Amino acid sequence: MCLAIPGKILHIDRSIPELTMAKVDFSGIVKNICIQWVDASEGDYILAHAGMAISVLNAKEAEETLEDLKKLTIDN
Amino acid sequence: MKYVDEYRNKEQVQSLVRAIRKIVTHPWHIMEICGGQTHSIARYRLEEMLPEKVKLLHGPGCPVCVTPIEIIDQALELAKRPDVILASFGDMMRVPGSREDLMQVKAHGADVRMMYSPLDAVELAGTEPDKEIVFFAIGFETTAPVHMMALKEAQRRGLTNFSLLTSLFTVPPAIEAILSDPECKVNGFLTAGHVCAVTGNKEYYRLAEKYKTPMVVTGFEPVDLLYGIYRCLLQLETGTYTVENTYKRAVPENGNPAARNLINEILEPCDQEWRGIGIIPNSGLQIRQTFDRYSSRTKFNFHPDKKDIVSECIAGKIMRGTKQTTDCPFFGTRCTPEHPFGAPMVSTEGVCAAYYKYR
Repeated sequence: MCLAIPGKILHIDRSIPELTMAKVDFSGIVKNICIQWVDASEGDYILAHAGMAISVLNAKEAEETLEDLKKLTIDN
Repeated sequence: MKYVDEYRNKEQVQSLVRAIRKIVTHPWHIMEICGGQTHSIARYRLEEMLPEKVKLLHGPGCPVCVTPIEIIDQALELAKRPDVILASFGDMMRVPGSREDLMQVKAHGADVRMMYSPLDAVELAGTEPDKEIVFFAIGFETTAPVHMMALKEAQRRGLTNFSLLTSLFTVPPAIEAILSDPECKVNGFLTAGHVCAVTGNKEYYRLAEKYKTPMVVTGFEPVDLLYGIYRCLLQLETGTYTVENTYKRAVPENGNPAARNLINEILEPCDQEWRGIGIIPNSGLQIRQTFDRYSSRTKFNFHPDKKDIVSECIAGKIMRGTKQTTDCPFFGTRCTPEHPFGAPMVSTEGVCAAYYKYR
């Protein structure tokens, strides 16, 4: 139920200040997602849940986690 | 897909399993709270990769499973009204009330619509001004603010024919109920990543400290889950108990303040019944009186007609981690996804349904 899927913002529509919408690409499927709660730009990846972006994926943190995982691979 | 494929990497899964095997010396029980994580664990058969000493217990974090029968009956009653269009996430369609489910009433002519987002139901309210649009607003802290966003949008558009039938739950009181149970077996928790993306991690520090239990914020892909399990086991083996975030790409420490503000503005905590478990104090969210014109419970009169069902289901014990699906004599025989006895067989994210599908 709390499924949230990463998608890439293609275009942002700020015409309604209370309801900032974006066209978001989910591996080829493009959907309108509300990005009112996140500070995001075109090209950013967001995590979408039930039509809302709940989080902007943090590229630096993702890189660091993958680095930590890589170290584990070397040690094991 | 970026941010997904890296976390389904086979070599990474194998090295994590080796790392886990290396550090485990004691028997441990780890509980994942979220039904989405339970589903992934079953789908990727992660339990079978773990050392025998490590057991996963599957918590109550599936709102489809724990929504009480009385609320399902309310949805069914509203759906049958000729003036109502009942909109719902697809997951709720097959969940049995005391007599029938939404799919059955739809087959008999009720106007029930499956939707991806409550915002789509607001659109519908705009195009169907002569109908009452009721959205079946189930969820945990991840979904609650999305429903409130829909309420705000209905308010902005001046729509008076939109309301929410809420069934909203919060995770920390459920963790507290599980840890306070004298029969509790859980040594460490994987907390639900997408709940924390909204709430942040603050409340979990209090729980980790009070119950001396590690809490690891964890994602949903197989590498995420094994990494969360690995970090939790490291804490258990070294006798530490704190909050650790292994899903930092999606979960900032402070969560999503805008979403949280919306919850606090419109909703207030309430005692809540969980199907299969019972009432957990302060574990629910209800619409505040100032917004009650958007609450279906205020807007409509109900005529409860609950049929008492004698249940042999051990769901409550399974979701508290004191029993497991495999302990149930009815699993897969008399209780199946087509004819579920209880909550965890109802939804695809319930542990019994996930075991039935993937084992």
